[in-house]
Amino acid sequence: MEFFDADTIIGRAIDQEDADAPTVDDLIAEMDRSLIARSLVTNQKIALSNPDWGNEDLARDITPHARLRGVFGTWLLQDRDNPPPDQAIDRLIKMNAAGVQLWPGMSFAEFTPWQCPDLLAALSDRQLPLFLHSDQASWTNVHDVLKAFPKLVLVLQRVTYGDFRKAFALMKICPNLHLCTSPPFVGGSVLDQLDRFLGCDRLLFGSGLFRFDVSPAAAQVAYSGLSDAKKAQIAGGNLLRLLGAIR
Amino acid sequence: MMHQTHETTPAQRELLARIVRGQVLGEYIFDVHAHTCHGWAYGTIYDGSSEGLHREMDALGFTGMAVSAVCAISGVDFTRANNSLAHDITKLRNRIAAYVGIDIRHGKTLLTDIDRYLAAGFSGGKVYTRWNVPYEDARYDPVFEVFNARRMPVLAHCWGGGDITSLSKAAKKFPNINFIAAHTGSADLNVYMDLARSIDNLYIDTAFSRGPRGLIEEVVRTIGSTKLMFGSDAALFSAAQQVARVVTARVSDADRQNILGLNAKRLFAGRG
Repeated sequence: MEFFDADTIIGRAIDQEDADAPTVDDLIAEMDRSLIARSLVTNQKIALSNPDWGNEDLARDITPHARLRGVFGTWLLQDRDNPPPDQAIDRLIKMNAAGVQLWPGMSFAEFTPWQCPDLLAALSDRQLPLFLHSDQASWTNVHDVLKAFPKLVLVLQRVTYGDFRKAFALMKICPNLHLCTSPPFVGGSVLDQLDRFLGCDRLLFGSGLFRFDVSPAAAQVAYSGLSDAKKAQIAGGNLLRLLGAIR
Repeated sequence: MMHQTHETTPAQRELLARIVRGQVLGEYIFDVHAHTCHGWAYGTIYDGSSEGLHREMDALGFTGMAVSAVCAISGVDFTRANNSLAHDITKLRNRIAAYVGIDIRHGKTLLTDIDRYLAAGFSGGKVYTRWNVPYEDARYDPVFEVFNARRMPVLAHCWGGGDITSLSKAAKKFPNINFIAAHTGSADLNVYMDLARSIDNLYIDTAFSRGPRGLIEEVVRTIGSTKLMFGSDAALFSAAQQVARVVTARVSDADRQNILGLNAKRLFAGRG
């Protein structure tokens, strides 16, 4: 079973010293230590207000590493200085983007159908996954976006275990909602329960590195009560399927 | 980011490899903080049965696990929940050590009920702050007297410095109880570490859904490994996810083994 991590971030978080910021070398070292085959990675700078600078850094850092694929940022508000969303998304796809990471909560924006409709339409059209930390939007707003853009591939990350019921209910009515296993989504038997009622094809292994360690999230998948085939799907197969569908 | 100098030892490398393969870990592991969840409202989505805990223990290779019934400590039904756990431990004797779930508002029969469960094979107590009754409150004194007289451990839900400070007062008053304060890192880490270091019969556990990278390392660096115990909070949390937090921590093999089970071995002699 090969693990393909769908949730890692490098770069300096706002409460860190520059010298403490995790680098791409730290990421590779952690992957080697924890036996993770491949990772998606985004850059903290994207969250801290400037997707263009974050994208530049990320592209530079991951280019030498075939095991890494970038999740880039884009602007939530189109203005005259930025290309239209469809062109921005085309450019990211040419950069081999695995998806787009949005930070509406940190960007003083709302994750709603009206905040960035052209962007959500472009992502839907190209089937480029949208990654979103669960603390960046309300469940109701996530629902509204998923219903307004039913072809959008949305991957929700870092869902708290206490929100399991909300996630479960929303996944049931929104087949375009995918869930990442990164902490604090650590409830007992949650993967087994989701599989029992909804199947496992929308569950993606993610570690939350460098906020969290890698092995705990891997253990949650590896020791679940699921079949080996289903574990392999969650560990990486489902993510590979999504990446293969990008147009 | 911790730019650490820790070298992964061959033993730890083997454990990390076993994790990605989902294999039995092969170290002495005793989980001091677990639950059965019969009747728990949120439990409808979890496998909170003792059989579920047993399956996870077998898959991971846990030697033992100390368990309380969520519905006993949370006010749902003290008697029914503890009775259910009493039934479970007859099936899993020597694998599961049972804490009597203490509901401080249970009423006049609380002490006789605790005695009855201890006579039935329970081996400690679990207290919870849901009642807004601090652990140093006089209402807890007769309860702690029971465990103090039997030299039995008591696990206490704590969430931050206020709770563990309150517990530390009880620990000083009842020196024969080894108290375990839950959820290290939830808040006020320095208070946890200071009190665990300074009070002989006060331990702290690792159970934490948001346990960040580096937390266990910081505790070991600051107070050593002899007062920190592995607790999973299963079946509310994934035991595998929680034990892997300890396995991957950048500490020595000896420190890891202390946390995983050797510290608990002394408190739960004869179990696991």
